[in-house]
Parts: sequence; C-alpha cells; structure tokens
Amino acid sequence: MNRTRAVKHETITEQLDKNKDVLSLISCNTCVRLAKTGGADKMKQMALKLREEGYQVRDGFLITMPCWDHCLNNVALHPGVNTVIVMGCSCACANIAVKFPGLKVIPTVLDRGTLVEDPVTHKKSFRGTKR
Amino acid sequence: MIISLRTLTYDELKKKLSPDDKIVLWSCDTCIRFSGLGGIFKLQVLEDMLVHDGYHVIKKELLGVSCVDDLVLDRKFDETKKEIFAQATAIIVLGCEESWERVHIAFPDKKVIQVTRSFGFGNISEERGVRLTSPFEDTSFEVVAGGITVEEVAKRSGTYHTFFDADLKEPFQKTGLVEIGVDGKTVLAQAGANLMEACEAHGFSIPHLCYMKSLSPTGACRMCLVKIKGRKGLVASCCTSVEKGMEVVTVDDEIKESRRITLELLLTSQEHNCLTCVKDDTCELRALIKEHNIEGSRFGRKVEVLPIDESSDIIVKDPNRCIQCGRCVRACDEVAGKHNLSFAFRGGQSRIVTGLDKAWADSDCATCMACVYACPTGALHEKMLYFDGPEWKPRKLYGHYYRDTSRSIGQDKK
Repeated sequence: MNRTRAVKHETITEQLDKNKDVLSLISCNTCVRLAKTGGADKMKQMALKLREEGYQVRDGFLITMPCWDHCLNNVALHPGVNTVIVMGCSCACANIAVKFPGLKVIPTVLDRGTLVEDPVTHKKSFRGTKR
Repeated sequence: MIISLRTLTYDELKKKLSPDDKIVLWSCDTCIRFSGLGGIFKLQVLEDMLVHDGYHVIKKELLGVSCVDDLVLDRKFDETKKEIFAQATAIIVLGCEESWERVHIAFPDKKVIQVTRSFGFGNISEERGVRLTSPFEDTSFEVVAGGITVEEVAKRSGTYHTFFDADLKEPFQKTGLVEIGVDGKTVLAQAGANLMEACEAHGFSIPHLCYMKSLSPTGACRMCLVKIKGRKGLVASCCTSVEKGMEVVTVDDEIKESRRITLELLLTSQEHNCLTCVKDDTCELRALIKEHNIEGSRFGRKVEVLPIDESSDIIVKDPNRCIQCGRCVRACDEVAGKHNLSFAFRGGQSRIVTGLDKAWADSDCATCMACVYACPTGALHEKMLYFDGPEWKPRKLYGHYYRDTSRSIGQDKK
C-alpha cells in the first residue's frame, strides 16, 4: 500500500488558471481513501472549494484503482476538460498522464511510500519513492 | 500497485528448506498476483514442484491483502488454522517485501522465507503490461514517463519477473496419474484431484457458478452436474474426486436440460436486468444464459425488490442480483479471513448479510475486495461513481468492472 500525504491547497491552485483551465477530478478509492487523502468525501470537499474560489470544475470520477487500466478505462473525460486533478499516488498520476496525453495532470498528494517495520526493534519508517 | 520481482531461483529456494520442514505456502492475492508471482495458481504450481521434489507442504494460504497487520494476525489466530501454524516450521511468502515483513513479524518462531524484492509502485495495463512508474528511493531506477517494464527491471537488477516453474529445464511429470474416461475419450488425471478441474484441463468445459479455484467447493449451484458410470443420478463434478477408471459424461440432453432448468430458476429468483447492472458483459450468469440460449424463464418471477446497501465506501451490495452461490461468503472466510459475510434467513427469504445483518459500513469488513472479486454477478461490485452538477451528486459509473475468469474456470492467464 502506498501511504500518501496531502499537498497544501495553495500548491494546487498555484498551478491552475481560473480562466483557461476546465477541471475534472479523479480520485482513487483504495490507498488514498485509507490514508484519508482522497475518496468520495475528500473529492467533494475539494471540488466545491475550488468552485467557490472561481475555478471551472466540471465533474469528478471515483475509481477503485487508477493505477490499473481496467479501472481507469471507466473515465470518459468531457471534451472540454483540459486539466485533471488527481487524488491518487504517483503511479495513478503516471497512468493518467499516459491515458490522457496532452492534459495538465495535477496531483493533490505526495507519496510517503510503504511502511517498513524493523523486525527486531519494531521501529516503523517509510520507504519513499523518487516521484 | 507494488511492483515486486523474484530474487531467488528455485534451487536457491530449496537450499533454504530442510527435508524435515513442514511448509506453509503463503500468498497475497492483490499486487503480487498481478505481477505474475502470486495467487492461487502460483501457490498450486509451487506446491506441485516442492512435493515432486520430496518436500512436505502442509497448507496453502491465500490472503486477500497481506500487507495489512490485522489481516495477517486474523489468519494466524483463525481457529481453523491454529493447528496448521503450530505444526509449520517454514513459511514461503509470495508477496511484496511489506507482506513478507508482516508475516515475519507475526510468526517470529518460524522460518519465513522471502522470495521477492519490491522496487516501487507501478501500473497494470493490458496494452503496456506491468510497469514500474514510481521506483523506491533506495533503488537504482529512475522515473521514466510511462514507466519501466518488469522485464527491464529484472534485467537491470538481476531478479526474475517469471515464476519458479520458469527455472525448470523441462516440465516434471506429476505422480499418481490415473486413466479416466471423459465423454468417450481416455485422459490422464491425478487421482484425488478435483474432477471438474481435471475435465477442464483436458478441454471439457463444464459450466459452473459457485465454484472458484481459490475457494473450497460446495456444489451449491448445481450447474456442474455430470454423469458418472455406476453412480446414481447426476453428480456435482466440483465436489467429486478423480478415481481410477471412472467414466464421466459431461454433457448430454438430460444434463443440458438440468442446467437449463437451474438457470431458469436462477432467473426467476431475483431481478436480473442486465440493462441496469454494472457487471454488463463480465457477468458469469449472463454468459451462461447466453451459452444455453435461454430467452426467458418458464417459471413465475419473484418481484420483491430488496434494498441496495451502498453504505460502504468501496463495495456496493445489490441483493437483487444475488444467486446465492456463496462465493462471497467463502471468500470472506477463506481469503479475507474476516468471516464477515454469511447466509441468513431460510428458504426463499435466504440472503447474504454482513455481520449480524448490519449495514456494510457498520460491519467488520476489511475492504480487501475478496468478495467482490469472487462475485459472479453484479450483486457485489466496486463502488465507482461519477459526480457532477452544482450539488456534486454521485451517479453509478457504468463501464469496465473487475472480472478474472481465469480464477473461476481454473486456468491461469499469467
């Protein structure tokens, strides 16, 4: 399981253009939901907040595992959408970037990686990714 | 998904075992299965190889998600498994490094053998295969747009993306093979093996709904009935063992009619409207209805509509599409180890409930999805939603839902 942490809201909005960007949100419903950095409720919160701030949020998709094509194939983006906000780990973003080339892909979480536990001391630490 | 590759050759694995070891083969049923190095079929292959070489495999354990502490500990302390784990001296873990770690910590008194190394996270794609897209910091791999193939990862890291059987110079001959007759042909099958699997292995297709390779057979659906010379009536092939000299008929007019009646009765039992079902063409019931050219049922139809349980964050239970095959109940017992699903009530009122008939979200579900992966119809499915409008209202997303036929029909795609 890829543990994640949420990035600051301002970090996301800094990458957006209120006039040009038409947004679609895609949230993973597995790892990030368990990490409470994504899922249906978090996506709704973010969508409504972005709308309040004047961003053009068109729609959202809750997908079991966006890192898996079988799930991602269910996402049919509206032709007007040019930016995807991804509530998913780096491999979800990587898959979305391949699936929707040319669109701006903005992650809302950062990988922390897997949780590693020392079998002797039981000290836990994260094994992070290069993304 | 975690991308893990095999670090040990089969010979190296054997060197870690002693001839006296009582071995439990343990596999996660999620990431590692999609990497082609785990799951029920790989457990079977490894068991066959080790038994052939004289090792003592006492149990195969398949776990829905093996990187979660609670699920590993549930399995360890499961009343039905205690004796097995007490006897075991070695556990071979087919899982990611995190999985191995969980098992290693849960069983400090056992030799817990790690056979993989995890390189990071990645994607699964039918077109592009399995790819490493987010390598761990402690690896030498770089981030590449679109990811790195597992073949490349294996090549550069000196690991293997194939399973242990790829190490064999020539396939070994299974012992205990006996001759049986199937539809007039003589074939070889292992004595004691599952008759339905043995027939399927030789190309004799037997329809079934309640059977799944990774679960114990129950013979509930009555679709796999066959005739065996010398036995009275029709016999459930999924619950019958291969015996020397048995003569089996997998299909004739009487068997066909029996299967048609079973399917028609299933159609009458609940609301099976494919137009409003997310399973669409991935439904096993629908495939059989089509295969048997059934256009409707001769029997009266039950019209009571049961409430759909959408309380879970990730699973939707629609009892109106349930055929009560019991695969979800067994998956929750045997793969998840949670015992959270069961049959309740009797006769026509019988249905599957979570906990003591609680809402799904209030039950002890670990959301490992073992039940969803087991369900042959749209009764249990992933919650995939589309949101739009000023209120951000959710709607069901119709599209591609999970189905892995390989696990129900007894063939491995990997």
